[in-house]
Amino acid sequence: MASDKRSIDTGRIIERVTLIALPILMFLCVYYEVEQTALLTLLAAILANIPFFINFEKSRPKPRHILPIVVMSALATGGRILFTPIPHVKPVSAIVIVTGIAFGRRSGYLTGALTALASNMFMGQGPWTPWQMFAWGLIGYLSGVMESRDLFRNRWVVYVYGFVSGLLFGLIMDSWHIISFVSPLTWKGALTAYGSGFFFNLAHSFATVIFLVPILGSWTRKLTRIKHKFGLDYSGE
Amino acid sequence: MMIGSGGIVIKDFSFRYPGSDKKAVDGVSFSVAPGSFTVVAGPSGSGKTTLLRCLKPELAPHGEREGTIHFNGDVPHGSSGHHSFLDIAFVMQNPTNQIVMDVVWHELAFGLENSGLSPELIERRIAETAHFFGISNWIHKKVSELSGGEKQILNLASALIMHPHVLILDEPTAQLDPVAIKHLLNMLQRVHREIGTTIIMSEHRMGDVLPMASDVLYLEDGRISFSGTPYDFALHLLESDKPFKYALPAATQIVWRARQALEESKGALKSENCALPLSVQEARVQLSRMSFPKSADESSGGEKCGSQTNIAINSRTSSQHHVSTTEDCCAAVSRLQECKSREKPLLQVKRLSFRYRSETPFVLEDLNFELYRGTIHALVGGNGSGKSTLLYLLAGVLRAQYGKIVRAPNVKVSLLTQNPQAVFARDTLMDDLMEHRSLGNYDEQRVLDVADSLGLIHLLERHPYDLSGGEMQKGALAKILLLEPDVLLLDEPVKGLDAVNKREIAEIFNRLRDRAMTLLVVTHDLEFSADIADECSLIFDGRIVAKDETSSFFRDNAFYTTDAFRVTRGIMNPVVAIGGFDRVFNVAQEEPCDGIG
Amino acid sequence: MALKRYHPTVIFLYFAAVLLVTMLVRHPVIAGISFLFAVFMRWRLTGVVKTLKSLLYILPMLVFITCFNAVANDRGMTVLFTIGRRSFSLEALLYGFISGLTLLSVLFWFSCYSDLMDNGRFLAMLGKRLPVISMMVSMIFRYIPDTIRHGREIDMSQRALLGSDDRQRKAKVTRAVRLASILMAWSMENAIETADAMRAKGYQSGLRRPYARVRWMQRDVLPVLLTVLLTCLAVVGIAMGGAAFLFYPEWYVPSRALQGGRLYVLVCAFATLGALPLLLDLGEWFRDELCLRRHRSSDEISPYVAAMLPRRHDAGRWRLASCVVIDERKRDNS
Repeated sequence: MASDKRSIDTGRIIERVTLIALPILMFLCVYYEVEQTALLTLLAAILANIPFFINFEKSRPKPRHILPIVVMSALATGGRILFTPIPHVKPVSAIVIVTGIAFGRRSGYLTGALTALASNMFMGQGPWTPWQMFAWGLIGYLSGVMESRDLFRNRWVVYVYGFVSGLLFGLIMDSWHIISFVSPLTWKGALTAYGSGFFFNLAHSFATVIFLVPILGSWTRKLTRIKHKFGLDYSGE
Repeated sequence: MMIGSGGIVIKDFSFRYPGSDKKAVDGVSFSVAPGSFTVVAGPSGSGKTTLLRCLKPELAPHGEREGTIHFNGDVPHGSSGHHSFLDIAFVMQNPTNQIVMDVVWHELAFGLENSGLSPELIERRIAETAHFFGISNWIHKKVSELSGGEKQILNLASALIMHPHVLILDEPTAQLDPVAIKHLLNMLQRVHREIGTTIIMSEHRMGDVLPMASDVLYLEDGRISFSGTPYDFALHLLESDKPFKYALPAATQIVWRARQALEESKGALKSENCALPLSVQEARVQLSRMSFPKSADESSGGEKCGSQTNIAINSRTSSQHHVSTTEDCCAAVSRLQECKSREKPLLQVKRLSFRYRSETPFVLEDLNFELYRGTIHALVGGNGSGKSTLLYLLAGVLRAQYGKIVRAPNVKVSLLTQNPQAVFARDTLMDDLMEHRSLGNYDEQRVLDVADSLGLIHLLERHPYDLSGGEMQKGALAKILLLEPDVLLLDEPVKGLDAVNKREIAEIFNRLRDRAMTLLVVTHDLEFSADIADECSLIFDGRIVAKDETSSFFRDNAFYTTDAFRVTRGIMNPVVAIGGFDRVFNVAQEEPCDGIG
Repeated sequence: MALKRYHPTVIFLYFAAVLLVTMLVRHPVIAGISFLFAVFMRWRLTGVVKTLKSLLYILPMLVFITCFNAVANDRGMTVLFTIGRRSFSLEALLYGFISGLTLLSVLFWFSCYSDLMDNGRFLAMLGKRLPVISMMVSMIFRYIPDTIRHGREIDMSQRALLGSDDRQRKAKVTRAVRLASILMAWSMENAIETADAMRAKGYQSGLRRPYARVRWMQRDVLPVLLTVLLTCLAVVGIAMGGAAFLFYPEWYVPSRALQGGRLYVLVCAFATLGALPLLLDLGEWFRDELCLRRHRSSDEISPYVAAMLPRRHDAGRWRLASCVVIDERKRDNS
């Protein structure tokens, strides 16, 4: 039991280190004007997903841990495909946030990452796939963390988080293009580049909040019931 | 005690769900011989599913257990190192939900992957299983492209690919259409005969299953009420006059009633003791040997049996909703004529053609159809014939490219789709029923009234999804009835329901008709439509190819007709429903015209 | 395309190698080769019209990146023109253009990869390393069509229940929210049964060993060897400075790049890598043709079989069919 707990803890440490390592690497690449920034950061984005996946694999998940993630990912993917005609408006972030709240940080991460992976199999893979996986995963992960720290007691905090998450998603998604294909990158240049995408990201932010407002209460309640039915609240097993 | 592979011995087994004071399974003892085919029968809520799940350790529900289950001799269940999933396979009711993977071959491989077999062995098993079940052609198909029947065949195949000793099936045919049911059961029979797998199956459509079974176990309130051969089981049910007898094949019921009637009229106490028939062919042989009175009046002595039936029915459906009595076929015809002559049709479909997309073929072509007030119309036809599409068009959720639908002024049309799950949005049934109170302009008292009349009053605080199939169907019906539609369109309202629940739904429909509501019922269940409908239409390939008053509709078909008609055709005054049979013999004078077979 | 018929690892390795070299350096020649072969492959996979369309769609991006680079930095010496106080240098424009070309190549290579590597193959490859994740993606695919179907049914049912004539936006939104909520609850409810089915099929036995239908075959060895060899050659070339190219302050090719033909080795290796799918196609065509020649020249061929033989090389299917027929004929004769 004790060793079990320790291994979970090391898993968590690895996850957090990964979350921090990626931005640091990106900054260093820009600072030293590395020619291979595109390659390095893309590899890093792929690798950043790996610890979460491996930790999940190692935890030997039971069907009742697997299926909520699968269902939420399927819903989010369906939602994303449905909203393809309207760029930057997609319910994925909102669904991932709710998953993080209801099923915890790890499920939140996986829902986000797998939604990106699966939906891109319909909409076309590209270098954006690992970044989307990471960004949406991060949104779900942080949502789980906030919930476990009891910060989400006030629903307005969730809405604010939803808004910020849209911007965070945009920041992550724009970064690869900007740091890899603009050189040398000046502060002014970076700001202009991020600024040019700002309004799209704002749309995503607002969309996330708009999706979040109606589903937050009812979905969390419904998911709590589902957790009971799956037997997910019996912590003994 | 040594038992060969595939035998199960259960001793004094009881099970209680946490938080419940009643035992779901209560002191059950029985044994299943290797290679036998056991049917577990019983009304819904009798503990069938609980018992079957307890036989499979991976699916055993949490709760309090007593007694023992011995599998294959002395190896008790759940002992360490014993993987029961290899020995006991389980097929559940819903064809779709139990599929795990996205492609057929991967679904077949799933169980094998879990048992850690080598790729070579997995390939070999897939090959032979696919060959046996005739699914080699669609091994690369996506699961979502399969029909319900194909999915259930896949589930059967992926259960048997593990080479289990015992195969447990929990109402595997409940969600399928008649053709798919026959196909699945044929497959099951092949498995039983050619491979010798022990089969334990719960089922509520006795008609197709009893002839295949070697043993029947009848559960009531978690206890074994009967166990024996299928023939004895039929006799037991009919003699003890349980409501579940309506689940028996129409053939059996008709011959039983015929015997009763003959006995009464001849004054004999017991007639021939030859076993009751379980199939149409057996029933025809037996019926043709009997000599029948020429007209109904001659056999007026059948009151004893009739009154028994009456008690059984009236005790269930309280007499406050009194259904019109002693209507015979002629009365039904004349009523239909009256409804037709009284006013113009409520809904009239004129030369309707519809397709979903411009690149797909027409689903409905040049279709004409009308619906009159105060009638029940049954729309029957195969899969993909356009039945559901027609309902959507009538409900106004789809618009047709050609033709038009004329609605009488101020007619409100409501639709209940196939899955009642699609209707519920709230966390309790009460909340759900109250949801549209402003739209439907009703209050809490009205909700309670409707819930009471449908027998839902004790379920109002439950979550809609926690209800049983029949309860959920009635809940969805209540939600729609609160909006007081004039025309009610129902898509497969009795799918997956057992005989008792079906009878209840039929009662409700009759009451609605008596209140001048119009019902259009799309169904695969010919027995059911023969019982409730005033008029039937057969839709085929996007057109209505036959439309007639119910009894003549079924009398004019040779294949697409009810078992009751198949049994009586050419032997006696033919009937299409068992209720009709009673009327012919004047057996059950007080029984509602719309008794269910 | 022959590459499609190889093991997923071969496909993955090939694209990984091409992308590696493409993104490793910022060099006009490498970017050009990569772009040309990417477009060529896309053309062969999707046809002229689609390729042109995607080119049209993607070219503004190239223009944008080029301009943005020119605006964002002022390190270049060769000033082309000045707008206001900003001077635009040839170097900055060139750098931007090469950057953009690299990005475009990456996007094109990725889209070719998506075409060649269908979901099943990808999951089979993923399943080796991350079996649970791979299984979950399969399950997501299994759930999506059901989700859509159920969504449609809920939509129909709700519209029929509440009347379909609401044109108001608010009613539409409310309905969509209800739909999503019912859909979620319903899907979860169904998932409980799927979880049961997984347990019933022994998912928790601890013995699980993923199985994939793809098999490693002998013909997979050659492309892997070639890919590895050419990539190593290219990477060594790059490491030795073969891809050295200075953009700022004034663009020029340093002499060490040309020393000992390093650049040429690099370019040849990379071009061969880019043409590898074409070489595989040629190899397949050659084998087909050889097989057909032999059949045509054998005198015991019946008119029936001759009619079955395709005139030009067509597909492996034909070859198989004719081979089987001929084999059986031979067996009958002997």
